Amino acid sequence: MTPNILKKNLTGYLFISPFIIGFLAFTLIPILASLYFSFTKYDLFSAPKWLGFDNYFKMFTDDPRYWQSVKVTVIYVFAGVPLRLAFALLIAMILNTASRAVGFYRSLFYLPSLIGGSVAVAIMWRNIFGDQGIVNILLGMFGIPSVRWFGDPLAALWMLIFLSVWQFGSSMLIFLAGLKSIPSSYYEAASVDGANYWQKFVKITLPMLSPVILFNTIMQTIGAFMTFVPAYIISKGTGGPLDGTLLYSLYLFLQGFEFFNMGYASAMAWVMLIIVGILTALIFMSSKYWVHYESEGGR
Amino acid sequence: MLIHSLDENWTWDDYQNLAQKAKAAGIYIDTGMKADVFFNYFLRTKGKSLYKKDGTGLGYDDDKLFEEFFNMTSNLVKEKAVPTPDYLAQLKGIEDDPVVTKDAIGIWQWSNQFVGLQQVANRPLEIHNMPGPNSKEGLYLKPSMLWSIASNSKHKKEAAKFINFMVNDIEANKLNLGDRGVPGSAKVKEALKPLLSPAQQQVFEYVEWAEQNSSAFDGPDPTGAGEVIELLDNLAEQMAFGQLKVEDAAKQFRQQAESILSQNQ
Repeated sequence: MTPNILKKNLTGYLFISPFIIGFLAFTLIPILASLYFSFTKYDLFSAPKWLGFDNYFKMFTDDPRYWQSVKVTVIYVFAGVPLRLAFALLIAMILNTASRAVGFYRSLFYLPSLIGGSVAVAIMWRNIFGDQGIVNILLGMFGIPSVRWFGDPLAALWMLIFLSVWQFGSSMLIFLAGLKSIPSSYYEAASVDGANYWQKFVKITLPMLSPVILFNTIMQTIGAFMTFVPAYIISKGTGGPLDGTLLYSLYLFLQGFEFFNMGYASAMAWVMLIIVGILTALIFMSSKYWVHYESEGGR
Repeated sequence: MLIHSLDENWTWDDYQNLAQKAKAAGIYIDTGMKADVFFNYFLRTKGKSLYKKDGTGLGYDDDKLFEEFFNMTSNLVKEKAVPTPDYLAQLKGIEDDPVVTKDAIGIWQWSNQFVGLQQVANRPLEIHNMPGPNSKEGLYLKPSMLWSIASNSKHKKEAAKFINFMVNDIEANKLNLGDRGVPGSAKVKEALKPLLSPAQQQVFEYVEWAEQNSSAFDGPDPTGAGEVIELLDNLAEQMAFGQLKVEDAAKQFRQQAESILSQNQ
């Protein structure tokens, strides 16, 4: 290599060095450390004690709360993500007109997801649906007895799902961009052929949007598995009435930082990584059956 | 029938009668008891304790004690003298507590929390002692902070000087004013007394009374206590919801708590 090319590469390396250092220090090395800890018993105060696969055995055979957290998280992901995407698509289609008011509504719908995931929103959600919250006050004005939204374990979980669906704005914007890229000539040609609205939706909109749907599905699924803040705030750190809101990441947090079973928590983290990885791979593998890339000239 | 004060030697039966009267008057008696703290107190009044001295197991053998205590607490919830767990789950903080909103007669707390409670409630409140029988054996003075020095510390002397300062220095404690707890040193307590607010004085007087009417503290909780406490809280919640029978909970608790604590051997 001539000195000139080396110098050019050096500049490149220098530019990316902050990211590389940050990645190594804050992502890669901690990930590898957690892999090591997952095979130990480690409580942060004494040295780690090697356990082999004991943590994993205990997790799968001796811990009913673990399976409860898996069940809660599965419901949260498989109910929440489709609902969120369906809602996002619906609103995006409604907003896909050229009127001036659309800009305002777009911002309005995007707002919840901007502030989403934060502690303040979760606290506000808990307040709104509390016994003296505004929702119950409104119900009272119509003579309906107040509902204890977070009282029942299953209802509390659905309130978490509802909070997630309320933050559909980011997916909606991506769908909106995708919708705008569908040439209107397709729809006009279909109308000439006598297609009705539902046929146009299924045969034109969905296939043209399928890459966007794939992207949103994967991103939302991964994000949903990692949800922690709403569950922690709304259940006040306990996992909700009778473990009804004990999301996987919340149980991991409790094991690690309340019981100081760092090794066990690391093992849980790696199991989650593997599960999310497998799920993502499955979605990708299935994508060749339903995702239509225009650049490849269709299936 | 109006009740103006409670007798110092009251018992659990008196407590349950009071709860009935509260229910009849349309208010709660309190918001329930933290399971591990008060079950431990109950066991101590019977000469047992929650954890064994060496922390490797439970400190009581007779599950009937578990059933006696938790039957009382679950019945109070069933009879609506104590609110249900889902009501308690939606309380946002101390400002929402029924004793502050005048919907309950009292609240079970550590004595240090009295000052904060009185501030929020904004009306004079009283501290009353634990019910018996044998409340003297049951009661203990629990340090609100357990100062400790790491055994592998390279500056043990300096650390000890710091702890000595925080515990014994009068000027430092005048700044603290017992916010972290009533000071252990009698000299410091005397020096602070003229500077206290009425609510803080109530706390200091109660702790002085408790010094004469309690028995030895069992020591800090053993390793794994966090899991045992969470387990007991979960079982107590299920019993209060009516989803688990007290006898079954007693067996489950024993089995799981022993397995957690036996790792301390």
